[in-house]
Amino acid sequence: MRQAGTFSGILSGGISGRTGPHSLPLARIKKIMKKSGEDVKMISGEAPIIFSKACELFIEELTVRSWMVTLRGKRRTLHKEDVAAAVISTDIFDFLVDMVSDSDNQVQDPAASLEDMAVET
Amino acid sequence: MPTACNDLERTAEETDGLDRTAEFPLAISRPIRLIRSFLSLSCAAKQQKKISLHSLARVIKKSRMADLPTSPGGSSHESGDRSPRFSIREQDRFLPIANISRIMKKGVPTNGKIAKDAKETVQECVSEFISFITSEASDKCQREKRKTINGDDLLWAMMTLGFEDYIDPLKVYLHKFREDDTKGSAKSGDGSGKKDAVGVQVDPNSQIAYQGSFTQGVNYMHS
Repeated sequence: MRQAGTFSGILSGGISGRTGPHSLPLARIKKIMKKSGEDVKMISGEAPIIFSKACELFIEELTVRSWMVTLRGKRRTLHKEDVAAAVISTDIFDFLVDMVSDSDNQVQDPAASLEDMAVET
Repeated sequence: MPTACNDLERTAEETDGLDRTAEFPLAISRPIRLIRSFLSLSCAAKQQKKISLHSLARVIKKSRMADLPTSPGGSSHESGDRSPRFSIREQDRFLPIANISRIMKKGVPTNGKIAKDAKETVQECVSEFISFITSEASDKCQREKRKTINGDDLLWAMMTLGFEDYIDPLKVYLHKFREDDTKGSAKSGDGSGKKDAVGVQVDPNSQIAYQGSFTQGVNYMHS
């Protein structure tokens, strides 16, 4: 494993018990990258490092947007439906639409906010 | 099919092979899967009145990748993969839910709660995000006849796909990491391959600028 460096405390957010500075496991990221296409064969060492941070930013953004949906519904618990609503209302998350609408009953409440956010057809 | 002209124009050049007028090539392989994906996408398009061509290209591409379970449904995720055909284990398809959960908590106030199903959905979305960016970067490498996907390719892909806000924090992070790494920590032994010299170009001048933006970058990480 990568040894903790001088600044790893800063980078890891001070959570103890992790050996590396990254908040997500690089080897796992690499595996997911490899199975995203048959033509993905060689990956530079830097690529998973970039993803470890990019995924963090992505998760935070998705969570914040989902939480706004939760609040709009006057609730205190973030549910799957909120994530779905956030994905549908955000352009750059278009590629996830297939993912969140896969489940059979996601249009049912508590995501009444889905209707609020949908542009009138 | 309502489509946004902006999105089409922005992406038409990169997604060669797709008709500009977005006539959907339904006749390709795995029709059932494609139609299902298409329906959910067009449903979203109805609400948004537009759809990105990249997302469509992704759906089509996924439908071609017959043997790779790239799109786990909610139920298959919860119950695990029982089908022997899909031999890829769950722990190989997703990032650990504890890590995801920890990062998600940063985006929610302390009195808020996150349901398990939300965490699992985000977990799936993150894997999809990695695949989405990687395929775009991989296409670029193929076009340029290179074999290794490097950091620049990923940043380019994120830029192309609308994640330009991530670029600056990523550059700061990468730079910080490199600086840290050259201070004598051991080379990664987790099998993630050799370190490539290529990557994001951080020219020497930016070191000075970087010093200034360091605190900002750290704040971003903690936010």
